[in-house]
Amino acid sequence: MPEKQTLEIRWHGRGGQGIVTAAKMPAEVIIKQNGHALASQEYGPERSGAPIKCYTTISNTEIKMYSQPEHPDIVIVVDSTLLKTEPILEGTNENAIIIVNSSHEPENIARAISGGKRKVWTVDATAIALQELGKNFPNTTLLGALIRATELVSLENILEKVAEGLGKKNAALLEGNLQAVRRGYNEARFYQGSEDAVPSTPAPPQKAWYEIEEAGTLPAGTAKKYSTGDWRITHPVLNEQCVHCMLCWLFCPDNAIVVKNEKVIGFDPEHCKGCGICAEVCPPKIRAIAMEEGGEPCEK
Amino acid sequence: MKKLLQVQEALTGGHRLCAGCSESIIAKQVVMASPRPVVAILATSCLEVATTIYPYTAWMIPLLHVAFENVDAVASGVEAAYLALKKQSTLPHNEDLEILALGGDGGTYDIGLQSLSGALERKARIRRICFCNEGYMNTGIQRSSATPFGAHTTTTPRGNASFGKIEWRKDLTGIVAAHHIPYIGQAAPVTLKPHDLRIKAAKGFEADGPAFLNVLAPCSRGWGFEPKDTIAIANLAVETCYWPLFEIVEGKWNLTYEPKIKKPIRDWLAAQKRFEHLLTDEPLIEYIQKRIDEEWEALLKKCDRK
Amino acid sequence: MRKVIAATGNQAIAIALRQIEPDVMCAYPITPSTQIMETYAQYIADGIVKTELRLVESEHSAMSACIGASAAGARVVTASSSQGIALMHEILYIASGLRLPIVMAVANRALSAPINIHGDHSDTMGSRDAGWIQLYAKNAQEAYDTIIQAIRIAEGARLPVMVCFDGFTISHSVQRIEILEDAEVKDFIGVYKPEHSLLDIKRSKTFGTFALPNFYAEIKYQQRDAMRKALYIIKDIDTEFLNRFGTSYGLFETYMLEDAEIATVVIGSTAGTLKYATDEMRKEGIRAGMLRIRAFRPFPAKDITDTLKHLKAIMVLDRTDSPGTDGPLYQDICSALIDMPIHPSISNFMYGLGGRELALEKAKRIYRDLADATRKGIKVEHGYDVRTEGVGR
Repeated sequence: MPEKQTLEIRWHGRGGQGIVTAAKMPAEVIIKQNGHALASQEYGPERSGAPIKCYTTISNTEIKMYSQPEHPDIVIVVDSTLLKTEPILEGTNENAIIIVNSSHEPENIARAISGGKRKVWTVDATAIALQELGKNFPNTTLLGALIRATELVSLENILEKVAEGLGKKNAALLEGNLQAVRRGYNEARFYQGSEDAVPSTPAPPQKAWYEIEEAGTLPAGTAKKYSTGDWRITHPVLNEQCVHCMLCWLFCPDNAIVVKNEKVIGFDPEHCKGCGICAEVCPPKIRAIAMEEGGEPCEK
Repeated sequence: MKKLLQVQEALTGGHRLCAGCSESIIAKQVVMASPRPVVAILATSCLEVATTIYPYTAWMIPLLHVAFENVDAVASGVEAAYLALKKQSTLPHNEDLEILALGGDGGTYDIGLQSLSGALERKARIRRICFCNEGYMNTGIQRSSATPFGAHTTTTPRGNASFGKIEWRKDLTGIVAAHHIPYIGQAAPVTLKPHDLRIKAAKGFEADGPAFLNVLAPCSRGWGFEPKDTIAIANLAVETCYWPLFEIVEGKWNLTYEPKIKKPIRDWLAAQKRFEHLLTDEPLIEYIQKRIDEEWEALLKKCDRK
Repeated sequence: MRKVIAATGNQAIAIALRQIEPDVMCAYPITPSTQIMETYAQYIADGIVKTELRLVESEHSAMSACIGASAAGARVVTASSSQGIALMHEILYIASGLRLPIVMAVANRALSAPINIHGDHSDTMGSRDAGWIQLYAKNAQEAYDTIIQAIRIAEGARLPVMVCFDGFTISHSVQRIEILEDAEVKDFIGVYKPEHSLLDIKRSKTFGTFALPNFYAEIKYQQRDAMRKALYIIKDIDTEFLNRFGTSYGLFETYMLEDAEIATVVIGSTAGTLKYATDEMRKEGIRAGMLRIRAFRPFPAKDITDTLKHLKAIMVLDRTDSPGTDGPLYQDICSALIDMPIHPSISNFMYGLGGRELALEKAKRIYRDLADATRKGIKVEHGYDVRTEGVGR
């Protein structure tokens, strides 16, 4: 255990990436060793792809506080696209550890997030997961990196727990996951931030009760201002084969097909979630839309 | 098709439904089919919670959400107000409107069935869409009475002593038919007949009395398929006769699509993770095929195809 | 000009509703309020009113349909009782949460089990936290006047209103009632102009949005604030009613309280019996008084404090049980008086459950016990109108 009696971890990820499981796993290991831990999550109505937060608290004494940690010691970013949109550093002090799933060097990440003197770790958990599991489930790799960054428990301990958890259900995935934990542990890269702290921008003030629409009644279409573009992990690309049959427009769940003068001219980068339905419904003889890797802003 | 570009828009982007969700596609195609402005009432559902998170609503048309089990009662109240104000010429705008009620299979097959039946019996002039995603997806994939036989859900889990749901799904379209309303359709968002859903919705909007559409709403998370395959899965449901496309117009049954070659039900089952445990169980698959065949034959008969 | 007629409480309500002529009425019959719907259905059958009446398949649907109609900008009324109120419980919160001015007449009745059709306040007391304004009338006349006022109160506060009166005792007994002229009622209630309507297709809105922890409490607080303001609206409308028609009810009614030493606090028709008992007590030299709550939600705590603070002892009568704790009216009275440095001794009596009447002798005993205890400087024990001695097997 580190000096501090209680260690609080906040996880930033997206619905469907298994971060709830990720937050629970270290808690389960600690409890199994007769320690004290708590894992919780912020429940919302969002669906797959939407940003969500989870929490893990670990302590050597009974945990009596069930509310979500305000000042986490560690922040784990499961999806690096969230670095731009989520308040990653919120509530952390200069001693905090930030672990990011990223192929970038930790020094670059530290600069990008204005991390000040915070300790930054990166690990390319997505690449490791794809190699070891064939799927983008970066959690076990990040767990390895977390163990490396904190020495909460031994690597052997965590491997045992992972084996226990997965062994029964899916022997096929077990070796891959164990390897992912080991690689996360070994391949995590560290950077000790040294820049002077950048004063964090305070959260914008929220409306008072009397400023809110009565009964929460809203004027139409305010969600236009809400971006779901960063949910994308693949993006559509339009080619000149398009005959403007409008099938993609008819079947797009996010109103993200941009049409001008009765012609498809591109995709709405703010709202396209990269589901790929447009490419699938495009008639086979035409195939005017292809999905490409990455959530880059799609062309408009 | 080009003309459609001018029609009313149900939803804007920026809602928080899963990538590839069929529900917004269905809502969009239904609303665009209306010749008159649409006012919608929405039961608690995925579609509701993911599209109306304060301060962001994705709805472009007027929308009212009240609760889970009462969308048809609420819609009959809206209809009563509409008729009352129209009679007195005190509508906000002197225009004929359409009242559209939307609910999932939970809000239609199960907890909402009483309210649905009541409104249909009272012949409320409402247009009712059921988004049938075959389970309580909003609360995390629990069984409903629309969940198919053999499907794994969190409350009908597969296990050493279980193959998933043991009951056959409820024939809701048949129950609605017993109310003898002017228009009933069973539809799905399919490219094999891309305008089928919209055309049925359009017929519904012209009905003199209640109209009901039961629309299959493939759910990538609940059923276990890739989000891009939402429409392909709907196509497969129709091609295997798992979800035939038909309508009942003033009591007369018409098939609106007949697959040239009926695909085996195994194709449908194999495409979704919720059935993966069935694939090694030949007798169960035979049983499902048999019942699907019987239902299809019975439907053909009702539609005077045999 | 008032005209004297003989009518039951339910008929009086139906007459008031005919005069109001709401755009929409959605209801489901239940004893003892069924007559309201029957009478109104007859008005429609006779072509007297243009209201769109929807007799739906349950109270849950009745309240749901009321919400739909009200959100669509119509003036909406309904009526119910007992199990009906319990069945629509979920939807009551949504009506107030959406700030819809629905008016509901309630002939109060006990709740099952055991099933019982008679009067007590269990039904509406069970929904006292539902965000509805609750006004309780003592007789058919007050119920008639209050339902007319309620239309204005609801629309002014943008909150739904229940107008409650005792089942059978008031709903079914023929009483002398003075009704207003139709034109007077129409003029008093005026034309309803909703702030926004679901049918306003040029200003599309989403009603009934989803609020997460970051906004939910703020939206609920708006309701609390609206309820606070409703106290003033109820008073204002009542004053206007007085000026026009010569009748006023206030937030509560007092009887012989000014110089009283002991008093009862009560809701509903039992107040009449307690007035007789008060008179008898006065003859015996006991300085008794009474306070009858009319506005239970919002609860006029401050005015009540000012009115009761000089008393020595109070018996609060609750016509409902709250198993495991004291009666709801008792709790509110205690809460209103707690800040007084010296407050009266306050006791609770649960009575009248399932239609058991509080007869004059029983009422007098309540006052005598209060007077005795006050003389001895002790507090009266909480009571419950129940047989504690049996046939003795």
